[in-house]
Amino acid sequence: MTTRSDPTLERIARRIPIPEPAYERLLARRERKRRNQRFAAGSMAIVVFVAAVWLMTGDGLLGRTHRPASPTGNEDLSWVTRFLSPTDQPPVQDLFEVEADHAEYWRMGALDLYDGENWRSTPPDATDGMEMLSAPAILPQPASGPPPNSESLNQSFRIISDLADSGLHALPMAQTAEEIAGPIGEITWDPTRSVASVGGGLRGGMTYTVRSRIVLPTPEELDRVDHLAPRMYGRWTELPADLDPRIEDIASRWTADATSDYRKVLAIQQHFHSRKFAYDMTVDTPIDADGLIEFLTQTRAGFCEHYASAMAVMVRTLGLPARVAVGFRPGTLQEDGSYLVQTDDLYSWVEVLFPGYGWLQFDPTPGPTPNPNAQPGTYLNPATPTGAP
Amino acid sequence: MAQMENARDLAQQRGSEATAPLSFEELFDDQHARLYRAIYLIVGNAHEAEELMQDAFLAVWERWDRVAEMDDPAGYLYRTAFNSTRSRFRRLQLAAKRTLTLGEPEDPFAAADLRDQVVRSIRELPVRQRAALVLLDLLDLRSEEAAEVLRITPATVRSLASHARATLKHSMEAYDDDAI
Repeated sequence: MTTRSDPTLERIARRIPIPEPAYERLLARRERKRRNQRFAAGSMAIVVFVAAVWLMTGDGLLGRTHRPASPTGNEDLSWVTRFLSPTDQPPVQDLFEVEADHAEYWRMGALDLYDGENWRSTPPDATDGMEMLSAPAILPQPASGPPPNSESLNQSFRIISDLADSGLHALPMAQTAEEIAGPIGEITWDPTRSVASVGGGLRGGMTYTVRSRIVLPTPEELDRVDHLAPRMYGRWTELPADLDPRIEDIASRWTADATSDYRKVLAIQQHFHSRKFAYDMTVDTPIDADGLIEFLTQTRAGFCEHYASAMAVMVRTLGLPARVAVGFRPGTLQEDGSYLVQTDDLYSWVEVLFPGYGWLQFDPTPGPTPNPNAQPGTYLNPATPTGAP
Repeated sequence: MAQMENARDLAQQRGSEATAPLSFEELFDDQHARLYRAIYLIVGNAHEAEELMQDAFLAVWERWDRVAEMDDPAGYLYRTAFNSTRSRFRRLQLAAKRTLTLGEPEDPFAAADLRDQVVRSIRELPVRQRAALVLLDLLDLRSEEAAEVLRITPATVRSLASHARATLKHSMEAYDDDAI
């Protein structure tokens, strides 16, 4: 009788230790894989994920964006010339053109989850109220009607580069979109994150128009807004249970003098605009919990990824609903009055929910370009800010 | 001859119960150590080995309804683990190559507390020899099954394995002599 198992090999094998507890480790891996699969499911998640990867790593599918040639990085004017000078980065690509009466951030989506490693977009589920609409489509709006101090903005977009292959499906639009038209077929509308995506992705030559409502409450109006208890906002105030408590400490310290929730949020934004922080595209501090602490206490330099990530986490530590928005800066005003948006306009900022006004943008990243809505006297730039240096 | 054994004999040899339907947890208890060690011997990297082992079990778990009805769930598990159509073996080969080219990897074999000579002899076996040996001698695959996984002929599998066996036997004898 032959036994085929070779005793020599068996003997060696028996001495190889097994990682324990094996079954628990299997279950943990199953859970990780499931999360990744859920994450990969659905064009929406991919859109925002791709945008997030661009922003969070500066290493986009369209090339390295937002990276200056020089490691000094802080000069106010140099960022423009950097992109004009020959560097090791791929040439800046034209992405789309927008005709509109004034500049806005052209927003694609929002990241709702901070897991201690990164900001992510969770895939929409049944509670998110996803809808399939056909252009032209009026997007469902809150029953309360438009907030005061808001105005309509018509935008006309023309996609230049074919972005579908890069996984981009979300239409860039000024927040908050109310109506979308154009030969783009079916639109998937996610009202929870304010994301409109098209099935075939963003194709070169695609055109569409958007009517958005730009909401610009006065500082005094926002001073009167009372927020609900944090738990009423569900995911929008959630943070990892083991988040470093120093982040909350810093947020409390920065906002100690603020007289309203709005002034707290503003104080954090203004603190980032103070001289203590610098704009620096060369920084590669990660935005995990340790990286944020390092950014807040030591390096105090970075670009939109760092500022938006840190501010959104800090606002949540105060119990206020916040998320990271991703999209593009207004772009370059051309002779014909349209804006040309390029790869290096990719940008992220913060949105904070104010009951009665919706998700309002805040812009913690200092220099090199001011927020298009931050004229003096607006809620983004009040004449006499309180609670800020 | 080994190659003549049919699946049911193999199932018994592998300790599977032919009567009561097997639960996934039982299959895991019975087989995870063996599969882990087999993969480990090929790739020489604890982390890769664990992931590859877990992937095979997770794939089996997904279609457990059907696998539980099979005569030889363990055989199915092994084929899944090394199934070339799912690129697992490709990944395994890559992992092995990576570990080998690192020269001094995390030294997983040292963790097994084996004497230098045996460790070296396993590590120095060409990957294909190692794989053939492990598939035949540790996992008891038939040479036809191993051939399918390795994308070579059954005769080549047997030849690779016998070279490997000879090298290993030689090392083990030397080791035993040293130890005594």
